[in-house]
Amino acid sequence: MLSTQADMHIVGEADNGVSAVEAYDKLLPDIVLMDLQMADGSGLDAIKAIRANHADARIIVLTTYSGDGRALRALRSGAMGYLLKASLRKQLLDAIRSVHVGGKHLDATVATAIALHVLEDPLTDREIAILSLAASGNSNKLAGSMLDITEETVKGHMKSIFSKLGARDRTHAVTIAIQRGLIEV
Amino acid sequence: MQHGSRWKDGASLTGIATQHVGSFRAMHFHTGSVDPVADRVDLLIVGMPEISCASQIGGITCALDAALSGTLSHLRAGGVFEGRFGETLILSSPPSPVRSNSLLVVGMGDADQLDAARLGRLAAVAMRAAVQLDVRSMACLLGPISIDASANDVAQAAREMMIGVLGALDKHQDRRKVDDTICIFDLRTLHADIATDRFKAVLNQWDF
Repeated sequence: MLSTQADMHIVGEADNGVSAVEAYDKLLPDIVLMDLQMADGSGLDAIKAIRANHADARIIVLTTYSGDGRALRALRSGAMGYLLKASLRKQLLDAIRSVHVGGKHLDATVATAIALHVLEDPLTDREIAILSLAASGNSNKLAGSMLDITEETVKGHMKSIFSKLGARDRTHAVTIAIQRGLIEV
Repeated sequence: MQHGSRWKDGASLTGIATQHVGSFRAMHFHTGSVDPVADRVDLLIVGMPEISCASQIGGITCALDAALSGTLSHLRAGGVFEGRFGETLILSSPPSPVRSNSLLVVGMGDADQLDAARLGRLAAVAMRAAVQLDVRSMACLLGPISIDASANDVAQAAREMMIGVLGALDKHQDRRKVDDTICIFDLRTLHADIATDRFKAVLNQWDF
């Protein structure tokens, strides 16, 4: 589709995050279309790595993830656009052209999801780690052991997680976190 | 100046009652009153002040923000779009009840510092962003001309805005794209006629 556009030329492709970073350094493209789910490195890490060396890199995330968690992390990592793979062809072409001239471009569904939660107290790194362990079936005791903290401390974190996510219990919290893209499973 | 007869009445495309101002290449300018929620255009352009300036979101953008359940103000408060002068954000496929196909939000910086010259630059930024998109109708609701502005202020603002728009078209529009596009300026001022006349004057004097 892109190669049919007179003003667009595909200069390179990569199938994992590490290759994407290497390819960017070599090719210095005007625009990067980045998937968030790749083989040996996440798209978020690749965005951070590219932007660390090229502050002016213009990256558009093209993903199936509509949750606010990943979208906000991608934008705060330096992505200028965030589109869903279900987007229309026209939307993708518009996004490429508008980001190329320095604007931001978001799918409104994603923008709405971000707006709904962006002002809430975010989960801390520790809370995300605990919730990820819970999502893998670990009890509070096991999670505490793995993180080298007491079971009581884990319970305290869980209580905070429930409050922040508006969850009734740990299963509900894990479900919300997966839907919003706050944890990886 | 190009002027396709089917563009004389903007209602033929957008359903919005408009007055034709003039045309530049394939861009046909109109003035009118646009409802940011109920009216439908391919691209709706609105302004957003910077939050650090404690500026209130203007009436038009406020109505749109309310229809979007606070999405615009929350994005600004969360730092996703800060409203810095000249910053742009496009939201594609906004949800109901907003009927337009996409929104272009233009950062106005400190709204209290907006003068005619800065409005002209904002109009240029908006048009530069707009011509990158595949749109056939756009409504410009930057809200720069307040309803109680003086006749002189309205005239200056209108002049600078049209100069900004035409300059951006000259510089950034791909001349191979010749599709007719309608651009409606929303005018909510007691001096709408003055603004319309000034738009016409700039268009008539522009070097084609």
